[in-house]
Amino acid sequence: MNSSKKINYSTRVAKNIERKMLRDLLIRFSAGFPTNDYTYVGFGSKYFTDFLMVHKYLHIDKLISIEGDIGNKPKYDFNKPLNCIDMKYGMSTNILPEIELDKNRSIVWLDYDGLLEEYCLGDIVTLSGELESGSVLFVSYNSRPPKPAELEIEFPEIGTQIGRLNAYIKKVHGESYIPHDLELRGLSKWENYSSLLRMLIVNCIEKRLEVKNRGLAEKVKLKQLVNFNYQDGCEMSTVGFTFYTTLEEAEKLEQSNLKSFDFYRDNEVPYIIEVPNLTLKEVKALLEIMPKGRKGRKKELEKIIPPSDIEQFSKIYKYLPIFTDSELA
Amino acid sequence: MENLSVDANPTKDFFISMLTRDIPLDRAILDLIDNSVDAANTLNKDDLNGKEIKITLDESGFKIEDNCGGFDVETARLYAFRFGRDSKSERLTPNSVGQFGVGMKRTLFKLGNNFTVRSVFPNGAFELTVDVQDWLSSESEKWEFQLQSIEKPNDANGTYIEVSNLFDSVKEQFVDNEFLRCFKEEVAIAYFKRINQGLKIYINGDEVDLFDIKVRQSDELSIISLEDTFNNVSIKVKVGVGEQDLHKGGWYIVCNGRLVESSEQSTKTLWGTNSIPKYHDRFAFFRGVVEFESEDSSKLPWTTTKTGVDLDNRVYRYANKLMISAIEPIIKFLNQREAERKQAAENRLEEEETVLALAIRNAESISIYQADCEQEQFIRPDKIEARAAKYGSISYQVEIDKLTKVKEVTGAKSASEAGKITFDNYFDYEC
Repeated sequence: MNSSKKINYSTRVAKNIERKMLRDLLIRFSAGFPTNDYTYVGFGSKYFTDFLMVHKYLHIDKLISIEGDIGNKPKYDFNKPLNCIDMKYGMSTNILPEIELDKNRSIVWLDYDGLLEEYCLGDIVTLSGELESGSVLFVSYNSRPPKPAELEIEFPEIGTQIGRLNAYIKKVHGESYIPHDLELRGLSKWENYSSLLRMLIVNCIEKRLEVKNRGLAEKVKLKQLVNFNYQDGCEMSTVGFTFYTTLEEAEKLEQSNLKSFDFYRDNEVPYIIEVPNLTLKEVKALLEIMPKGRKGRKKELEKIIPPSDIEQFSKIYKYLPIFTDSELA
Repeated sequence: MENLSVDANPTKDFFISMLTRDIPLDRAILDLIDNSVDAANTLNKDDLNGKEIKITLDESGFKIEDNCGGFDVETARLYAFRFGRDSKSERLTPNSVGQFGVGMKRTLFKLGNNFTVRSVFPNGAFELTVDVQDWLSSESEKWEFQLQSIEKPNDANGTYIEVSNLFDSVKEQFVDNEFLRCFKEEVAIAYFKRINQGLKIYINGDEVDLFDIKVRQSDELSIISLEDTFNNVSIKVKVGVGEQDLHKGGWYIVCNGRLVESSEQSTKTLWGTNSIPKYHDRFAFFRGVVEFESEDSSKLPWTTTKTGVDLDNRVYRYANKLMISAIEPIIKFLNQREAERKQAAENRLEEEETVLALAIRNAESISIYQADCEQEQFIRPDKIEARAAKYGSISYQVEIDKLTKVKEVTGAKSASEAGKITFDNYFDYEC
């Protein structure tokens, strides 16, 4: 289904938080790698939320939005909020190879609505071969593990649950980057399944980098920056990486101190964005004890708000959007 | 404690039987042709017009003769008849195909019991005759052959080799029509580049045909040509779109003019790896040539039998980069052509809108060597977007008893007819 018929992303709370976390990460990243000359490539849909964000906060003027919904061109052209957004109509697989990414550092966000299908991995491989050192790549996808009952309907001819899962994984994600010693047990858990998908992505990037690096004195290297799991109705994941080559670039990356963000992740353990369900009044009360408040006050609030919600709130309150009903027109 | 020395020298018998075992007969004969080609190349690398190699194979014996310049006594003494190559000695023939120092000997020992090699070179001639049984049974410590200078005949400079007293298995194959046909094809493919440059090869009197790799080229469809150098080996990659032929599609790998892989369609040439799809009939249009050239043939990525590419060779691994960049746009084009074919079958595109298929059909078929070799970008037409599908199909399974009942009630003759009737019924009442 095309994303324009789905819910407006800006009201999806976890996604909203994730976007703001990526914004902060990129702002700090831009201290070492000035991003104003970068190209931003994304799937703007008709809201272009990420485009407005990178333009306003990172001062990027070269913006390219890939839109697969060719039938509704006027709709997207109309909703395009900035003149500097260049609309490219077609599927990412066809458009990405045509964008000259090896001429300029870029930030690319492949924000797939659906599953991490084989063609998505193909896009990632294309980018890994093309992206300049200093570029950043984010990939978002649905990481929901298939349910046993769904697999039974899809693969009635296969007798075992493990066999059906194996067939499903190969059908959806392709065979190329699946490890030969894949452990199928435990994959109905979201955490394990999303970890497998992250590994597929890392495998396909590293495979292409290995080819790209053949014969080069200075090899291009990969650094993971984020690994989010979150749920806005369905299970989603986002992983992000940067590519660097020289010692100087490695040092700049180190100095930018991205590590100090508690959502920074350079490994397989995801940062889970969870949003506690709070009223406006509760939010205000909790804000008063952030980042640290009187112990007594916290104890009092714990009578009303479960401690786990308070804990969650303390992690994300800087990014928590507050929605109110407003009539703008 | 007593130290005893153990004799570890190989016996001649053992050595010869091991040496000749690893290579099929047809490939062994190619090694001899390699020597002739190398000789011709040293005279003029780019023009082989007038150079001829004549091969005769029958029950009574094997002969190969050429007018490619021959080799002198010094070469014979130091290299040609020596088993293996001395790494300390300088190589004489740059850009050669013979390189492991086993080719000629291995072939001669594989074919029969008696052989004669005669070479006529600019300032002399020699002849060497060996009776293999005698040579094997001679007790001398040193392995050696006797070479005799002869009076220079009036023939053109060249090499003449004759093997008689053929082994039974060799004789059987030399009279087998199928062997001869396959051998001829193999020679045509292995030396297609040299034959393109004017060399003539005759097998039992018949001239070997010119084998060519053809691609389609026009103003709207081009080949892609990439070049690079790695470790003093020049690498040229040319890819394009040819006829749809499942057997001819794939990669062709050429080392110093000698084809070592032909229409390669496996993971060796990256099919099904590195995000390149597996070879499939939709890619049967693909033609790719990778040419490696080096003065030092030991750097080339081929196996000792020259029957394939050495995947672990660094030059080949480096060339993979060029191969991937070159094939990706063609894969994309061919995938779109396949989608276009399906859309036309579904009436979502008119015949004249199948621009990709038309571009292939209307382009001229030419040798890949005549195609524009400066073209780094792929020129191709943009595809035309197909109209949205007017029809969709539904497929589902239901219990057979229920289906039978629906067929009875509706009078449908088939399951699909029952499906159509029930769909229409739902649509009429509920939509």
